[in-house]
Amino acid sequence: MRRTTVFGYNMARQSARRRLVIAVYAFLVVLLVAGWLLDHLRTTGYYIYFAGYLISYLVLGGYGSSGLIKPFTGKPPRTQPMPKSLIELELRYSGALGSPDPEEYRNDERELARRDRVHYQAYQGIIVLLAVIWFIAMWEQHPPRFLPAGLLPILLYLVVLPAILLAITLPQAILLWTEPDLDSDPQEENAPAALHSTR
Amino acid sequence: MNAPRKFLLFIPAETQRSRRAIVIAYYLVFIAFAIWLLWLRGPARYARLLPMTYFWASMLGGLSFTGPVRLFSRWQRKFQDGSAWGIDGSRPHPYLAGRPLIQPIDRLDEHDIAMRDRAHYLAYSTLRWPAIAAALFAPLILMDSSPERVAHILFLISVPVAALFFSLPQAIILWTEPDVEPDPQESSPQTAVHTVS
Repeated sequence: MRRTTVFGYNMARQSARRRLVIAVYAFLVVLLVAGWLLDHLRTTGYYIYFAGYLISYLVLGGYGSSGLIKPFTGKPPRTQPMPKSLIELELRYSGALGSPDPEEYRNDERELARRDRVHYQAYQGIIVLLAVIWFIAMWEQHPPRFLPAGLLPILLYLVVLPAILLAITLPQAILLWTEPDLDSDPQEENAPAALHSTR
Repeated sequence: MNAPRKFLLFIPAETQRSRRAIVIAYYLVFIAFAIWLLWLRGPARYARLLPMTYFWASMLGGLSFTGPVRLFSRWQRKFQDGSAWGIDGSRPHPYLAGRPLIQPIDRLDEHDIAMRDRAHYLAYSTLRWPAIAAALFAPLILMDSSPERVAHILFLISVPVAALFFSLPQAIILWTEPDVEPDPQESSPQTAVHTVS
């Protein structure tokens, strides 16, 4: 992981990250229900898709330079991230601050193995959803007697939209869910103690 | 990946060249078959192609144990004893006794698992782009459509998506796996025997 905070909340602990994953999916479910109540997701469905994409990009990370998880590609962003303060902005314009350090974004062997594994696991989950879409699509062509014919297109849409949302967010969610607690840097912990001892 | 190296049970897939030829032929035949079904036989026959995407992909292996790519995971088949669907490989059901239906297969080693996971990552990150493009351009096509028309278009798209989703990891493995160099230790004893004789 590249960052350990989201909206000021510390995400170094696994429990905090799991709460974040639950909150993200709960938020998306609330959006889906609200969209259904508003216009049966006809227009709001697209906005919910973009909301899911923004959450994936800005909060979860992985497929962008922002977010908790390092970019899966291991490449630094082409453009610099937003400056955190006016001082940083001024330093950047004066040339005192260079481009982002590529080492900060590079994945080590363990991170690459974890990245590949969570994508394999997410793939298995999406295959299950794809099987559900199969059945509904087949039923749409040959409607069974126990289901009203008008219900099937809506059902198909109701499965496809969450499937796309899951496909966007699932690898990052699995990674955040399973990654253990991040140990604080022992050098940082020892530094104040060393300072105290020198005094 | 050293286990079954055959496509469609008889086409050899030993060299990288033949594996790449299999991948190209697989997609060309599938596309031709889908177009033939859609244009000549109608949407009802095209619908039957959807479940077939899984079986077509399993010909490449990965999803089944009969293909050039080794089986991906143990939920399809237990690795340790070679049993399948609850039938023990070493002590098969009396009905299956004497039939070579169930053969124990080797456990995936670290290299196989790394290759499998990497192929899935590449497939996943590749399939994200069509999903993003579809979501960006779908409003232009579908905004004023009826739910029936939306479902029809989703259904038409679902076949190529399912075909790619099921087959892309295997295709990536077949495409990228290099040729295995012959082990010099295996060849050297023979030369030693020749030189002695």
